Amino acid sequence: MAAEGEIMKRPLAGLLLISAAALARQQDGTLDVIVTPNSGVPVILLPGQSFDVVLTRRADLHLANDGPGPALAVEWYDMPGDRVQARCVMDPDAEPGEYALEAVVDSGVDRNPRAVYIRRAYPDYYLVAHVTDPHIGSARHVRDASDIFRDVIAATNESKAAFALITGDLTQDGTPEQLQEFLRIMDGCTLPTFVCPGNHDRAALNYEQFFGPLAYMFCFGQDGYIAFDTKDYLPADELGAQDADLEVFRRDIKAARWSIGFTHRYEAIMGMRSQIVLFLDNPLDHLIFGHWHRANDDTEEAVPWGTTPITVTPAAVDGMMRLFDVSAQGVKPRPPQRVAALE
Amino acid sequence: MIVAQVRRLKVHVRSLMPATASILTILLLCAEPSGRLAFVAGSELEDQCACIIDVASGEIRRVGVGSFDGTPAWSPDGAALAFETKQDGGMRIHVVREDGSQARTIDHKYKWNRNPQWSPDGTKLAYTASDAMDLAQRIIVHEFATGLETPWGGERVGLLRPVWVPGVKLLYGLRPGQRIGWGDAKITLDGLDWLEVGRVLLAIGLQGEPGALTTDLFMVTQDTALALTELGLPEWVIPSRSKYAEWAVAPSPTGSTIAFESNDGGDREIFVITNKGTADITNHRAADWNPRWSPDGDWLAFESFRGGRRGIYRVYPNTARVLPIAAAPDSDNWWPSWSPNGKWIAFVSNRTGNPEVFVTDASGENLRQLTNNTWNDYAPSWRPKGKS
Repeated sequence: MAAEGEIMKRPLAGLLLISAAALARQQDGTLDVIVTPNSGVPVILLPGQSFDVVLTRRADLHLANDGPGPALAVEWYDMPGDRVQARCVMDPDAEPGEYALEAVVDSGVDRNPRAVYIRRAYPDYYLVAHVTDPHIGSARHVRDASDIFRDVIAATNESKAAFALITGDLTQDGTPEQLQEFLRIMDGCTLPTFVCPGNHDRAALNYEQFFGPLAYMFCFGQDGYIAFDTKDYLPADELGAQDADLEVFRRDIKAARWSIGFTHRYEAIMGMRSQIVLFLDNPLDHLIFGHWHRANDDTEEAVPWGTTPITVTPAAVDGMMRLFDVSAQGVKPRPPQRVAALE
Repeated sequence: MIVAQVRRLKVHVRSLMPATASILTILLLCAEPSGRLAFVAGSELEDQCACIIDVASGEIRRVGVGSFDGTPAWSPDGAALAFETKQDGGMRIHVVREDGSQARTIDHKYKWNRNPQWSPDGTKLAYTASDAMDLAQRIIVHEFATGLETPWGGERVGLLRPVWVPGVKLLYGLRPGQRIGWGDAKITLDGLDWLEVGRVLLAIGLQGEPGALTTDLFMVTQDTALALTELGLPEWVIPSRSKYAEWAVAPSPTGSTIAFESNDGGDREIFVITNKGTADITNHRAADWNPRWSPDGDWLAFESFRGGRRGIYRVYPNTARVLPIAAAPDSDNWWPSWSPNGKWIAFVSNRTGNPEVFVTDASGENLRQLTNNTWNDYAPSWRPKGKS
């Protein structure tokens, strides 16, 4: 986990100064001691609020940006398998900003940049940026997919959105090299970025090694967001654990002003249990996804099961992105924007 | 620990008189789960393979194709196993003997074929089929004697998850001696030539139009599919459920009761239909899923979130008494499968990290971890016959 020649000093137990190597994740970009939060599954919170950290082992946890960050009060919990959980309570006087989460262990420091964002308050009205299908590594256009994605991220940075959702097909083939490249470009984003996997990203377990969970939830002020995986949902229907996660997530955000699902792909015959949970028992207020490489039209306004409207955004690899206005009036998609040239 | 004690006792009884020892050995064997379980295992879906585990020894044998294998279902006599597997860009139904021999794949008309269910006499398989990954799902019945596939439900599409009705007593009992509408013809419900075991399926059917689509319980024969709500039965027998979504229909082993889940009541609950009417038997503010009958038909195992995460419970339908079987605040437990003698329940749990198969007795005691590997192990299904 150590980067050669990169030495930092961190306080340990308030008494010792140790020399340790620091790096964002492992050298190959995969997650190390800290599983979540990370730059694809960050946390956004206010001073005094708490957040959960999932790690492979106990560690001394710190926030940092250019210097030491706000203090964390940590309680530890065991998790099934080889994971532990830290419930971290943020200092009530914490300065708003973007922070890296650091885990100090005997062998060094694991550092997840862009993992924690502290805000002063949550607005009633905000923008969400939706980016999907960057397909890093593909050769669909004259211009390199990485260069196109850099322009899309630059446009996202200028959008004044509160955060960005990047809904899968991050890469063309899901290789570690392509995921590393995606990570390098995404880390140029000045907004919190929430990712989920697409069908192109699921080679072996590479996606999980770079970003951890395939399904998760987060709250932004009064609104709840659920990320979920729809790769191979037909043969996977009801076998695994995701259905239960979705039921728990949906219950946890039941009181939200708006409940918004985001995934890579939606088909009407995707896992039936997932659809019962998300569209029949407690219908989401909005579903956002990509995969189609085009926007949805007037005949594709909602899931067939009920009232949940859908919004499909054209692919980033085609130079496109979309903004959503989120307010007391609802979740309103703006038209897709072309923000990157293809040649 | 209890297993170790039983093993020590087994050694001890060998020193007793032969007849006494034999009786004690039999009794002690009954205290341990045995027999065989089918399940699917893989590091991911692409290499997921149907397997059979000997419960007593833990020996695992791969009998599947190893390509998205799923939903293993034993024939009623336990001699064969059917499961779905990914081939030729779709899903096909694969059948293999219990010892792994005589593997064959059914010749399908449709590309996507899922959720095989054996007829009570073991001569047919019913499954859901479609040409595309859309809602135009049909029920297909494959007859082994002829090798032919026949569409059931007449022209009805939008039918999912068929299950065979093992007895037609309830169907007669719902409205004894009276005629009901059945397709174009007026068919007497107590006409044995029509409603007999092996000729009736229950299934989930789509109802309504896109934008307001929901699900309902259907009776399906080769020629017709009819929603139970369309039987014209009194409200107290089958309430109008058009605004609710039903799922996971499960007839009891004798067919005298039908269990299913519905979001009637504000969240998902397990209901039963008997000749006395329809009742919510798991009433709780947390979701209750997937009812599975015990072999004697006395209990229903089901999944519930009443403990926070998904756990396994059982309910006695006559009194709606609910007892926990396997539940934990920090892990999920799901997919219960009863042993043939009803004493044991196999299930999946991620309490040790990745999903593994466990066995417990029906009261939730004597927990055993059956599989312990780096794969994800799913969908245990207890072989109907054999020691258990």
